[in-house]
Amino acid sequence: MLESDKGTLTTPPRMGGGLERWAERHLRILMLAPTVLILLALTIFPSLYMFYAAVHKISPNPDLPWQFVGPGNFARLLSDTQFHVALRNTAVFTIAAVTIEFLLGLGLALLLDRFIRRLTFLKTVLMIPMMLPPIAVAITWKIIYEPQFGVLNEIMFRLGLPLQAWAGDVNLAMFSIIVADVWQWTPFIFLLMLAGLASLPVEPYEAAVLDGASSWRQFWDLTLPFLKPVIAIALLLRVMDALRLFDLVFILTGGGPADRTKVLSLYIYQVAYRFADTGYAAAISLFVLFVTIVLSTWFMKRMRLAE
Amino acid sequence: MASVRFDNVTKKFGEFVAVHDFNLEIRDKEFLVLLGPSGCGKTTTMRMVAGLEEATSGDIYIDADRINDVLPKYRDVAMVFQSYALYPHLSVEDNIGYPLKIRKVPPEEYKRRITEVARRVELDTMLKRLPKELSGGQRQRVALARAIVRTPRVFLMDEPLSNLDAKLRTQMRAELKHLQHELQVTTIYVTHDQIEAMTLAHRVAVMNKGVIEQLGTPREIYNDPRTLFVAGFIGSPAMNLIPGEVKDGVFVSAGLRVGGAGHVSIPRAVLGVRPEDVHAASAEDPDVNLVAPIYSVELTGENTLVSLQLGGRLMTLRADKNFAGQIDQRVGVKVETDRMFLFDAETERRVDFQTNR
Amino acid sequence: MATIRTRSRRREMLLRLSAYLVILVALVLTLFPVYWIAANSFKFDIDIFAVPPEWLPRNPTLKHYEEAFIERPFLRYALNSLLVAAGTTIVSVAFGTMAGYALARFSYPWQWRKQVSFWILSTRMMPPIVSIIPLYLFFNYFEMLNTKSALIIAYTAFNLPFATWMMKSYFQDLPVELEEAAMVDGDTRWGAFLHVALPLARPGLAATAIFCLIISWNEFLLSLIITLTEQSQTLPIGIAGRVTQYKTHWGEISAAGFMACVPIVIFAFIVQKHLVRGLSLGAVKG
Repeated sequence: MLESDKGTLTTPPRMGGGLERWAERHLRILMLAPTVLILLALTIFPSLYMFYAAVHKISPNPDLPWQFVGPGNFARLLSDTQFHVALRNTAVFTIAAVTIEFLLGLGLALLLDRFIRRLTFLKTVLMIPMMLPPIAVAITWKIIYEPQFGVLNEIMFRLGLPLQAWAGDVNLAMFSIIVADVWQWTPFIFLLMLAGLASLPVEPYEAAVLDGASSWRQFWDLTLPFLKPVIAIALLLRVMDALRLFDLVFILTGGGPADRTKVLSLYIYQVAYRFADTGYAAAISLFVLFVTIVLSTWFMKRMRLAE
Repeated sequence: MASVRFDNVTKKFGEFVAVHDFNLEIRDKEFLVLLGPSGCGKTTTMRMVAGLEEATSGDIYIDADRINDVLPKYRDVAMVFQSYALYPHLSVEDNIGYPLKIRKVPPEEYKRRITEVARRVELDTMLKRLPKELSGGQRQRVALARAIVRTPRVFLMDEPLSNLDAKLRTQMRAELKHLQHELQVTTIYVTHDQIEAMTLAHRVAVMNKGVIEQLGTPREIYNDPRTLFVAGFIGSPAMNLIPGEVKDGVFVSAGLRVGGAGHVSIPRAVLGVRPEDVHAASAEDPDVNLVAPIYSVELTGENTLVSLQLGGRLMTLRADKNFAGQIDQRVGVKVETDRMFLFDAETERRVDFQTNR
Repeated sequence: MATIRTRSRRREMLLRLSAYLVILVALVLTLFPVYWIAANSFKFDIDIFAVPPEWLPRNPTLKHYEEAFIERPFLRYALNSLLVAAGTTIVSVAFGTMAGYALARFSYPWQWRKQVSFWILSTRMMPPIVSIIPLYLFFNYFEMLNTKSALIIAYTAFNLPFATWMMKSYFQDLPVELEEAAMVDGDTRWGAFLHVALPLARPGLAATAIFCLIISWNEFLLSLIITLTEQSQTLPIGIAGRVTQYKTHWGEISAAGFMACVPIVIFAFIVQKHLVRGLSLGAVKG
């Protein structure tokens, strides 16, 4: 026995007080409950309420009662050409922007991985665009795209190319939005791919070299399969972000010209707050919600991201 | 000081039964080792004493107190983890003092206890260091110190030596044994290392698939294995287990015939004999039990381990360190027939076996 | 043998050279827009409109900063942004830490742990425009429109799932034995969380908080709909308000925009080690 045990220090066996015991028993519920309740209130409740709104015609005048129209608002989705334009624009933007960002980000990561790995400061500098407030990014590009005194047209002029209206041009507006988005979000893919590459095991590559595999084969047989989980996450997050595009369009083009850059978020915003057609806006929102849920669930289930 | 008792304790993880209808009494001041392969339920059994797992059914007692529903903090047990589980953000002193701080021990006594315990485990010069600045052996001592600083009713040790290198492990093993003797605290020690079990334990409980295969002193476990599992698990190199058949008291296998099991007949039997109870002899010697070619010869230093090819399997014997045989050379084998064990392969239990000598 | 070696060495040199060239180009492309907004914020209006552009401000001035922060209520907007971001961060990190710990450590019947984690993640995937209509109606009903509390509530819907997943991933990195040791040493489960897990997760906690601050600071759409006056409008709304169909106040929005970027860049450097994890919701550990 220890010398100091002459004075006893053994705790008498107790069960613990009633409250302490109860709290310990239910800790797993108590710690999770606030978050679950808050999120239920902030997501499930609005979704249900939105469904309720979507089957009503809601007058801009708050004193008028809601008028039940059943599936009427959903039926409008089929014939609303503006909605179809917005849907198409969103799809075009999402596919184009995410594809370019992915290829560029992956390519840069593969090329630079060996050289930039220890240049932490430089890496962080390259990450700045995606951290910036989207609104600041939008006004920055607005200045650059400005047809009269913008930098881009100055460059075009120096190169002897025709000047463009960029965000104000029917054919270039979507392109301009995509360029700004690519500028902001390629670093995201780049960073994630670098992280993926940094976690690759060394031995399989050494084995592959001994087996005589070319760098091209190594890329297809080793790098790509190893990167797959990271690629999946990066693409999922980018697609979900691209689907909700709003700020850039709001500032750079306002959806124009000729609705060429009108995306779903902007259209819902316009329907709800410019046309004050809340019921219909709710119906479109439900459609978007449905698409994102299906897309993300499919993606997450497929990639087993939840665990 | 305390005894620990398991009454019909079962622990399930979903459908998986980790511990099945477990009964065991660990006596006051006893050093009991739970020995078994990984996944046998030994760690789960210990964690139920600590309160880190809850028994699915059955009762666990420390002395006369049923502790199933007692929070870990009121059980007054101390545990040494395999990974040591030192708090990386606390200094050595604060690590050792953590159990005292939780119990609001007055500062003078806190100081006194820490100093005493630190001196005892030879850490008194490193009290201000962080765990990451210590060697593996020193971390191990901190974990020990944290356990003994408050003299708990029961010590629990979960493979505490397995992260140390071989030399340090041998040294710490001796220290642990001495410490337990000095402190006289009931100890439950989990390991898969039979040498640790043999050297440390007052009694060993060999576990397999959630049940105790055999409970006894190290000597009993080694000299008198009750089941096929215990026979195969204890001993290094492992006991030779030769499958065969018993017909009217005579064990028959490829190249081997041993008589003496009364008049019983067992269609599927296993004969067990330890490598040290098998001796090499000249192939011409008329007294040998069998003759077989050498498969490999391994010198360990103190002995030579010789493997023989015997009907598609290997038989190992421990020969003198000066044994000089070549691979493929045929040697004779003498088996000490009174040191053999016979098992029924169906029940995996031992069958009485008398030689007619 | 010798020829092969020289050839591959030359190839290596070439590769290295082109890599550094690419890094240089990427740096210029990354930094130029940021530089340009900063440069314009220090120019007089006439110099902003100069053709060809004035690459370096010839007559640097703080005029636009004066306009924005003294004549116009941008200081107020910034304060609103800060208060809302701080409120959101406190709520999200406090509850998210507990939920993250629960999801990292406890087991629940019927695979609830997986289901709940999955559901929380999917709420983060929800486009804000989708929940804005019911939230708008809700805030309208309770006369909370144009208040900072309404913004905090709305932002929490996006930051809480984020904080939960981040903290879950940080807690999963900690060995569970430390908390078990604390419990055997005489602590409760809650005490083990408070005394052992939380201090060890402190770097992750700080990173999560900073990310929440950034997300809230940057948010635009929800604020656009919920806020109406400078009493609760945030910095992005203030900036967007100076871009109208008739006139864009270039100097002023450059000044305000640049000021909105400065804290973010500082934060980005503080959390650089956690960037990957933060941006991937804890899924990729950088």
